[in-house]
Amino acid sequence: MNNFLRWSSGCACGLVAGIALAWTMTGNARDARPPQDRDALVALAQLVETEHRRVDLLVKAGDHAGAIRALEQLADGTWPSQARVGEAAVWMRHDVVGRLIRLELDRTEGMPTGFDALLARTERRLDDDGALAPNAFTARLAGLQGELLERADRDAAALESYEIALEMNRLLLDALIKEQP
Amino acid sequence: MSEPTPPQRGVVDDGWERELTAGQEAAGEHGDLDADLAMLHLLRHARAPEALGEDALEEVLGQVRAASAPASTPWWRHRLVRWVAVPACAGLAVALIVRPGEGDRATVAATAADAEHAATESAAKEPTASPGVFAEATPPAREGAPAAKPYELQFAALEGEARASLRDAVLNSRTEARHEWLASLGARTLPDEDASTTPGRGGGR
Repeated sequence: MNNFLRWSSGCACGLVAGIALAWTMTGNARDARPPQDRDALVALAQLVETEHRRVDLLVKAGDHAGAIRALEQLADGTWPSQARVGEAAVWMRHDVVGRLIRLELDRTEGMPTGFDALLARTERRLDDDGALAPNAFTARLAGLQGELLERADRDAAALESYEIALEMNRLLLDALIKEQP
Repeated sequence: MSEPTPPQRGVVDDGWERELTAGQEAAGEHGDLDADLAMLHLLRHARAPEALGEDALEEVLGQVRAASAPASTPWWRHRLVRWVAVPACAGLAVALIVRPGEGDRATVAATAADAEHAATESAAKEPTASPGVFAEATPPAREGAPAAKPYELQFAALEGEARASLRDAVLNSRTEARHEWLASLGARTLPDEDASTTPGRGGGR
């Protein structure tokens, strides 16, 4: 009986350790933490959705400046805190800023207009929003930061940003692989 | 005249063995002498013990050593095995179970390649629309696809899944908020219903 208890406790410890290891390795928390204020999250999502549609129309009409302006207003507007609406809101904001930077970068081959402001905006979002679970929007924003830095010939810093983006994407792709049947 | 009495022989005399064997041969090899011969050997050995050879002695000593050694702990009961090897094996097993196979890697590689292809094709046509928060999980192509960097290609492959997660989070919140609202409505209307159905002063019948 004593031996059985020892063996079973050993096996149980091993199993728990293995599961914890696997859980940690597989990018456990791709889903955003649940929000405290559900109404605020729903309202925010509707606002962002509407603005994205507006930007779609502006881009389709060839009004890139208008599209960029709309995205800037959305990105710089008042956003509810992460504690209130959860990580999903941060993902949405990174998506908005990412689209804005992409539009700016696509307008020119060289240094985009207002380069410093763009870089500052990107850094503020990546720094202020704290540690997040790996997600595609933040990874893209880190990559865009790298592209901005690369255009400014700050290659070392660009490389660091690219590495962050690629590492985050690697975790996400690994998790995606494991989910596929 | 009486027959001369044979000289007295000891029990270890070789003559016993010879006579017993000769008697058996004379009787046509009938009977079994093993027990008698064994007894003779025993008596002879008791009288004059024979020294064992080196090999035989070593063999006997080995047997004695094995039989008299203290009981040792089997390898599978060692503490190290129990607390290190077993957890390590369990962890490894779990890691192997969740580890993607080559087929899975090929699938994702194909997905990424498809996404890249779709991004290139769509970008060649015209700037495309945003999928938005509530869009279906189809990797769309957006601004910047033509000279796409690796992170953009990966984003194209992951975007559908990410938007699906966002959509689920928002829809869950909306569903829960609706349930809470309905529950609060129910809690507010129940006392009114009770008041209207309870016989009051004016009296229900």
